Amino acid sequence: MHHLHPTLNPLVGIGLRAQHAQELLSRLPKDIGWLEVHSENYFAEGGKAHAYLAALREHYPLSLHGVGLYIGSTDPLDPRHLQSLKTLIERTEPMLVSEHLCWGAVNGKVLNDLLPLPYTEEALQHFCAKTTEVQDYLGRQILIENPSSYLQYTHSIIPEHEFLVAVAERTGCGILLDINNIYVSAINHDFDPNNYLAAIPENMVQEIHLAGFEDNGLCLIDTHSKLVCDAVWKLYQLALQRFGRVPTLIEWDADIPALDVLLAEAAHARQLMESHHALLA
Amino acid sequence: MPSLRDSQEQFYRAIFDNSQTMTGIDNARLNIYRQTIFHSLENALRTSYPVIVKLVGDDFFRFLAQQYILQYSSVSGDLNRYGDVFFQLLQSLPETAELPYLADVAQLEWCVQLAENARDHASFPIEKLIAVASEHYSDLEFFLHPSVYLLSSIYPVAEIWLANQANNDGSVELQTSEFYTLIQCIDYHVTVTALNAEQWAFLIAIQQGMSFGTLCDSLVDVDVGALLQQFIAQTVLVDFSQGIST
Repeated sequence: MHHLHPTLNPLVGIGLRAQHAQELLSRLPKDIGWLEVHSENYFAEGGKAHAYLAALREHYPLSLHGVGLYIGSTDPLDPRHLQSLKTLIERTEPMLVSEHLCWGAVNGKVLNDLLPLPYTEEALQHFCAKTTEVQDYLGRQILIENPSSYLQYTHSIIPEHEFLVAVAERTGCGILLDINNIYVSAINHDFDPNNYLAAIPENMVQEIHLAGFEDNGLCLIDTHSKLVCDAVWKLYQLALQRFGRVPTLIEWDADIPALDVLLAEAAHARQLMESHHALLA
Repeated sequence: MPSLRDSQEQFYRAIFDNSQTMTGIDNARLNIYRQTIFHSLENALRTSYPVIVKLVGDDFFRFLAQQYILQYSSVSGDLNRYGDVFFQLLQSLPETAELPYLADVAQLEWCVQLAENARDHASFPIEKLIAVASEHYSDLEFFLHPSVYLLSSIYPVAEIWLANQANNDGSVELQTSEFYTLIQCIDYHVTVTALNAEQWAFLIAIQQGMSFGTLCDSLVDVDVGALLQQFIAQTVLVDFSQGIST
């Protein structure tokens, strides 16, 4: 099923963060098979980050993960942002390009956050039209990631998993399934994460994200600042059963620990993936 | 049912005006977004303006960041571009009137960030310059390295910036005069250099696209040849064109 990435070995990757670039380059760890970066951090034409990326790109396949296109905004897509993304794709030849199921700007004013959409038919049509526009402009398929959210609109009537699947069906985009986001939103909005997983068709998921959250007492907050929790590892095992061996990323964006901590998380994901595979064999 | 646009406009208003709420939504949950959004915008400013943070301290910088966030909207999904006109806030706030050099230091820091992310350029084609016949010298037009930024101020901003880098004690004797600064990034390393009036005039003329002949005519009593050699050696100049042949 996931014949797109036959050369990825292992299928587990980590998010490349500036403070790890030098160490990664000198160690070139074999525990990971690919790297992911936030696209926007490479929109500048030059600089040290680009030099590291180019050097690491010689050794690892790359995935570009956008955090600022805000496809769900009612504003038109930012042409400068799209152009920068396209230039970056041409420059780095990534295996995957992803964005979020969210909005983030209105009337030209940008909130720089992944904000939840009301899941309505209007929002669905809008999101699909804009996703198609992005894919047409880039000339390639993108993946859309399920967000974590802390509120739901009273007029939101479509379950998020149905909305996400409909976007993939109508636009031909792939799904980046963030297992941690499913868990965080399931706790915050009181739904069953297993049902969410079960509702996603097996062949739509092309990438999985794993990360850690924080609990502020009211909500789980998707901070990407902790180890992956046990409940999310369990959910990941269910995802492996359902979706097979999908490229899986360990994300860590705040309070970034030593590289070895990320590599240990990646090793755990790999172990789960391989034991699942052994069960099937 | 509100339209998608209505929902987004209502959300925006609620984020930036605490007195606004959203129909049917727990304000405590909206607060999570308020906090995340302000936190990441403030962080973007802290990353771009480490010397300002050092000069005014953490708490006052937080106040400045809050003011900036409320007065200047982000206009790009690329957070690295947020904060370009921070100097305007510093010029306008009554609270910073007693620190009049802050705005110029902020402009210097923004140039440092732009220089760090500028594209690379091949080194100066010196052999090609040697091959130019002397009668064509006056038509030559020289080009600055893409990372070069030039800044003038009545405050010694280069000195302030340098004094506030790691291991330096931050002390500067503050005086007003004409101060000229060159910012450039070579091999991923930013340098901030004070220029004298002649060096400044020379580089500004180059930046404006002045031909070498016109430049020599306008900078009388300046050893233009020596400056040309110096700035080629320092990779401030990276290329030239032969201009319009006469």
